[in-house]
Amino acid sequence: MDTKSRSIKPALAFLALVCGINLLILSFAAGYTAVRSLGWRGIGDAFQSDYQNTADFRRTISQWFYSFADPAWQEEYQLSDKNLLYKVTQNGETVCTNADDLSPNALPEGYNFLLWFDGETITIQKDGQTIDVYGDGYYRGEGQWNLPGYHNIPVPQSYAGLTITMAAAREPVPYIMDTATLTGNTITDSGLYSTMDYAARLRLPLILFVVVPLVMGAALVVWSILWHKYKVRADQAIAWFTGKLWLEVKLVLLIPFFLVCIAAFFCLVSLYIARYYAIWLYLSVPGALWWAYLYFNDLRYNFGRITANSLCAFLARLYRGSELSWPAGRRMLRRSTLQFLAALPFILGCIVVFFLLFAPSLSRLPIFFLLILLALTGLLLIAAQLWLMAQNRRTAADMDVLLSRIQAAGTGSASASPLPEDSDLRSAVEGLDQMEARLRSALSEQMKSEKLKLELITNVSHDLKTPLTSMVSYTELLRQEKGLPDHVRDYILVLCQKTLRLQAMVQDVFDVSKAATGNLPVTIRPLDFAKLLRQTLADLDEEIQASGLTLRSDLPNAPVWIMADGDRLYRVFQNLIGNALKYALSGSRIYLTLSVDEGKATAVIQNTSRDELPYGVDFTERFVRGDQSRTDGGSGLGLSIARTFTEACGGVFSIRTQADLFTASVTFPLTQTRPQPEVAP
Amino acid sequence: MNESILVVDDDAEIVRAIAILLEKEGYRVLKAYNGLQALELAMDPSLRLILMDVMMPKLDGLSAVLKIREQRNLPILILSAKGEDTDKILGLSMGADDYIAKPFHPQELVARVRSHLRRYTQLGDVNSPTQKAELVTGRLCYLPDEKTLLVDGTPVRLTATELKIVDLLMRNLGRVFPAEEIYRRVWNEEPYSAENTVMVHVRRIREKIELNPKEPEYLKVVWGIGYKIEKH
Repeated sequence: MDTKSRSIKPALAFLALVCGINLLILSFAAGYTAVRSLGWRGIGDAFQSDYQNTADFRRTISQWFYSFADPAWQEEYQLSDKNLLYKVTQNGETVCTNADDLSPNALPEGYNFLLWFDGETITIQKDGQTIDVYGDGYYRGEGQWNLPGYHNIPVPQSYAGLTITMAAAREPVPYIMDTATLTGNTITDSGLYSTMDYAARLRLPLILFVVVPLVMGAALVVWSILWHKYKVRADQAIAWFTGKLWLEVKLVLLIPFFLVCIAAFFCLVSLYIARYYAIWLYLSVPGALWWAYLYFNDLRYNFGRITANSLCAFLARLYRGSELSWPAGRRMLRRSTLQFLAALPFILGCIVVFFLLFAPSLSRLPIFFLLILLALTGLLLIAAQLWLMAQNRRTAADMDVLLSRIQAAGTGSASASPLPEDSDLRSAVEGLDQMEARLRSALSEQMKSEKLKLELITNVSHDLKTPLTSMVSYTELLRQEKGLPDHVRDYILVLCQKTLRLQAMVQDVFDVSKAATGNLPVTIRPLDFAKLLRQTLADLDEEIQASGLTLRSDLPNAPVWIMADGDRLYRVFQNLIGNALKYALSGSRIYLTLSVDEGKATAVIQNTSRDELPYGVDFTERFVRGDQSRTDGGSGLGLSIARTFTEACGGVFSIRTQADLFTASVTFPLTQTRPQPEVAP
Repeated sequence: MNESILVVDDDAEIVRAIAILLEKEGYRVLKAYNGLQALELAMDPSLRLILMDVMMPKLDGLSAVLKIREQRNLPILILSAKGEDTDKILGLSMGADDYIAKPFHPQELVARVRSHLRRYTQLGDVNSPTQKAELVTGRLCYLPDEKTLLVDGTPVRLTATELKIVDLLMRNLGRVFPAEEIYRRVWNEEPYSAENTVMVHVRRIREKIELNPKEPEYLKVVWGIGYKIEKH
């Protein structure tokens, strides 16, 4: 019910307003016409119940008075109807009458109005009451008795000795004209009856066309004012409908609107100067009014988005919509095609006009108009070209954005700067966004899992240390025990070695995890790479001697300055040489060379592997070893430590295998920095 | 002498092992298994040294060290499985005297304890004003006039070459000498295979003066530059 009232009440309120205003217009128009044609008095007469009180009656009686007083009329005519009785005497003799026994002293039955002229003044009695005829004695026109006897209308001299008695019926009756008496000069009409009848007949149309519309219209308008909020809703609903119309349609409709307005104005003016036309023409007045209402209502509620709903905008949207579904390349291609196609008819038009100029039989005027049309088309064409140029310029700018985004994505410093929705390269940027997002999530996931793995390693190695402490301590206690049999002593020795190995492995694990999590502190200083290698060889001399292998080194005597952390780099080569000693074929040679080339120093360790090297294995991965059986006692972290430590110092670590030749190289850029000479205290 | 040593660790087996090791050396050992127990036992008047684990229930080692330091001035050695440099620095700044990473070698532990005790008890003698010219760094004390190197107050027997190297490095504490320069100044010859020769001697000296020759505290290699004795 609520929804029903919601839709019905606004409709009713609006209908009330429309009907009310229209009725008021009708009422005013009819009222104005009535006043123009009848005068206020005539309208007053129409509502007079007693016809003898109307101005028309007074005028009729006055006219008859003059007629009766006129000797010419007296001779020629005679009233045949009995609505008005008269008797005219001249010096006591009856001149003319339609009632011989009429006397001013006693009116016949059915007559209540008496006019008595005694030759000087006029006395009028109605229902036995004397009516004041002259007032203050001056005649001022319409509405008064137009009779002689005023100061300004003196009784004519010819009226001397003349007496006129007139009596009017209370209720005049119609007299049918007798065809037999048509001959002879007798006036036979209904006389006063028509006077009464005319006023009575005016009453109904006046009520119907003036009073009723006025009252109803006012009531409806008041109603609509009372229901103002519903009416506003109706306005909004209408504005919603008119808002759907294209602006162009509204503009075109302005032309008939102005025509209707002109018609309405024309009607109003002609109404004012009292010229009348066909009734349908007057419909232009309310028509113009309500048409104007539609425009104003539309302006009031849709002003801000007046251009949003237009044919041009619609076509542009349509064009863009179809354009967006196309790939960027085809869009640009289509735009340039459009430019070409738009120019084509223009050129053709130019050619046609050019030839028309030389056509002898044509007058110049149409060609002139054609030229103007052509110029306008040219302007439109330029506008279209400018628009297309702007589109292409924007696409070019967007392309720059896209390219910079791609570069930024490459360096990992991407920042999302979205392009507008209708941009040609929108889809490309979106694709890039997705790619970046996926890359980022993949990276972060990888980093997360890497971090988790390293945390696990750190925790495990940490937890390993506590039991290791006990193991080391108790094996040491066992070792110190005296008086044990030799084979027990042998067992203890194995235990000792293995716990030490385990300890070293845990330390390696710890180092790698620190380096990989970026927690490895490094102190980068200039140092002599060649000297570092010599020191390392000297440091590991005992082990090299013990291995039975030969280490051939080729190190330059001149200092090779690089920037690195000496302690870490020592660990790198300790591991690399240790690795070589561990896995090299017995009796073979290990080569250590340091070469300087193109601003880089490269240390290379080569050895021939004892076991066959597996193909396609990254030896620097953690826990990867040449043989998969893991029985050789290495932690599998040596090369991994070497790589992570080298990289932590800013060097490049690489491993190559060729057949059984295992080559590890460590490369650092040379530096011009020299160590600060340490001052002796 | 019967000096007491307090061993604190939440792992009872480790405490027992350390106790056995130290008792063999003739020390009396007090055992505690958390920080609070350590605080109680730390007031023992015969106490000379404390070995303290870091991660313990009730009261952790570092807090215990802080509290004990308020009351007593004796060597406190931290035992920790953490082994990070930052942990080491934190422990030393809390008032510990030394830091031993787990898993430690029993011999090294005993050596460190002995070293600290010796310094702690003989510190008065070493620092007495009777001293003439002497060069001190941590546990090392070099008497240039007598050409004697004292480690924890005990003279160390060095060969002539070793002594020359120590003399050079102790006179220039903290300064880094390339192997060639050491060779020239010790052997008075043009260097030949200097690195190897010097390194051999360095290793030998380390075995005599360092608690753990594999992780030297004093005689250090500065990789890619040379050698020095660290100034502590």
